[in-house]
Amino acid sequence: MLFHTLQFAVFFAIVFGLYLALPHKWQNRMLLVASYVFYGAWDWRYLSLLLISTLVDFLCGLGIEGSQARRRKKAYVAVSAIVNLSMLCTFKYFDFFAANFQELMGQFGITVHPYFLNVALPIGISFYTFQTMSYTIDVYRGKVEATCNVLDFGLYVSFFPQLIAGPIERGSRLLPQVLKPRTVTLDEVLKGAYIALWGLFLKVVIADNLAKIVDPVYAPAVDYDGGMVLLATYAFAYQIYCDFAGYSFMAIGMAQAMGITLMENFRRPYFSPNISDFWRRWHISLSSWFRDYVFSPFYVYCEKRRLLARAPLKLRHAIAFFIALMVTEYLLGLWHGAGWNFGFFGIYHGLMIWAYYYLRRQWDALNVYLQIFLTFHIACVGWLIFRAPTLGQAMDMLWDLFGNFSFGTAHLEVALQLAALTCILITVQVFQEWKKDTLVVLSWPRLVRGGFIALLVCLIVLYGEFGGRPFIYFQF
Amino acid sequence: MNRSEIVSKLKALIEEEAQIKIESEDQELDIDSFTMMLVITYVKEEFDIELDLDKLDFDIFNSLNTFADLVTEEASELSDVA
Repeated sequence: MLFHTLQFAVFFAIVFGLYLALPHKWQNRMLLVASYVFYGAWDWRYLSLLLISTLVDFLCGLGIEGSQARRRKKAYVAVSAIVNLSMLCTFKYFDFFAANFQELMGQFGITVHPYFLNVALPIGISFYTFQTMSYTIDVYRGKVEATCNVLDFGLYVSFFPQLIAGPIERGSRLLPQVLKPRTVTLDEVLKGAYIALWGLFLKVVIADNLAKIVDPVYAPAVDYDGGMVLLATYAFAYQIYCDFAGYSFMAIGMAQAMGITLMENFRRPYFSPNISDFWRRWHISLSSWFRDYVFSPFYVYCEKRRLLARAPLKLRHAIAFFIALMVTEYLLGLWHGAGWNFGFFGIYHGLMIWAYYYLRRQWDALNVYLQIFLTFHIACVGWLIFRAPTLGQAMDMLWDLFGNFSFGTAHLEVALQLAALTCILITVQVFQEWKKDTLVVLSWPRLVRGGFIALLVCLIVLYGEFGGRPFIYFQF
Repeated sequence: MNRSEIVSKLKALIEEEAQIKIESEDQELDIDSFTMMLVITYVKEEFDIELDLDKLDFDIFNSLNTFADLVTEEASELSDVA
C-alpha cells in the first residue's frame, strides 16, 4: 500500500477514525494490528521477519536490564546485532556476494555454482532492523529503559507511517510516546495534514514527473551527451530528494495528526555549505544512526591502538577520524544496496568529507553561496554514481560530462521542464532556510497560507502522477 | 583540575578547531563529529579522562557547560574509585 494511493487513503481514514474513538491502550492495540496489516499487504510472508526482529530485541532489552555484569549485557547486544544483521545480510547481500564470488573464481578459471536465494528484498528490512538494534544498544547505554510491554514495543517497531522507509526512530524518542497517552488537537491534526500534503506534492508532482527526465538518460547501456547527463543528474538530485523527503513528510504528517512526533529526516540538504553539513541534513535518522553506533565506537577503537599511542594528539585524531570515517561511509553506502556503485558512493562521500576537513579553513573562507553551489555539485557527482545502473556506466557518464558536453535546443527544453518542476520547492525552501523553520508556511498570513495550500492541491490534482510508482528508498 | 580550567581549555580547543567565537558557556555550539571526536581525544590526553561513549550524546552535548559537566562527572567518578 503506497502512501499516495486511494487504497492507502481509505486505510488511513479507517485507522484514524478508530484512533480518535479509542482510549490509549486500545489505540495502541489497534495501531499494532493496522501496522501488521499494512506490512502484510506487501507480502504476508515477511511478517515473520518483522516479528523475529521485534521479539529478539524485546527480550534482549529485558535481558540487558536484568543483568548486572557488563559482559552479560554486551552479550545481549551481540545477540541483537547478530540476529538483525544476519537477516538483513541474508536477504540483501547473499546473492550479490554469491554472484561476485562466482565471477571472481571465474577469473581464475574455476567454475563454481554457488547457491542463490533468489528472494525479493523484504520491504523495510533495512529500516526496522536498524530501529530495533538502536533500542537494544540504547538500553545497554542507559538511554532508555527496557519496556516490559511486548505489544507496545511491537508498535514502536512496526508503527506503519515509518515502518517501510523511516525515519529510523530511537527508542528514547518514539517509545515514550507510544507508552504514554497522547493528545490529539485540531491544531496538530491540521499541522499534520499540511506536512503530509507537502510530502504528497513533493512525491507525485515533482519526483514522479522528474523521473521522466531521469530514466531515459540513466537507462542501461545508453549514451547521452554531457549536457543531457548534467540535466538528468540535477533532475535526479531533486527526484531522490522529493521522493524520499516526500515519504518522510507524509510519515511525519500522519504521525503528527495522531499526536506522535517523528524526528526530522531532511533539512534542506541542498542548502548545505559543505559536504559534512550535507550529511547532517540528508536522511538524518540514518546518518545519525551510523554516527552514534558505528563511527563513534570505531573512532575510539582506532584511537586507542598501540600503533597510534605515541603520535601527537592532532595526528592521532586525524588518522583515527579518517579510518572511522571511511569505514562508516562505505557501510552507509552499502546499506543502500548490494552493488559496487553503492559502496563506491559511500567511499566517494567519505573522501569528500575528509577533503573538506583537510581544506576547511580555505573552504570556509569562500563566499557562502559559492560553498552551497559547490556542495550541491559535489552531492550531484555522488548521485550520478548512485543512480547509474553500473559503476562502469557511472564512469562513462562522468567522462561525458567533461569530454562530450553540448547544449542545444533539446537541452534547453529539458532545463525549462526541470526549472518548472522545482521552482515552487526551491522558493519555499529559501523561506524555510531564511527563517530556519520547515513549517514557515504555517506562519504566513491566513490568506497567503490558504492560497498556497490551494495551489498545492490544484497542482497535485492537475499534475500529480498517481500511477503507483514506488518510492525509491523502498528498494533499500 | 577545576571546572573553570576545563571550560577554558575546551573553549580554546573548540574555538581554534571550529573557527568560531564562543561568547558564553551556555552558547549552543554546532559541533560536528570531527570536533566532537577531537574533544574526546583531547580530554583523554589533557585530563587523563576517558569519556564514556555510552554517555556521549551528540544531540545533548552542544555547549561548553554540558561538556564540562560530563568531564567533571567522569573525573569525580574516577576519584571515587581511587
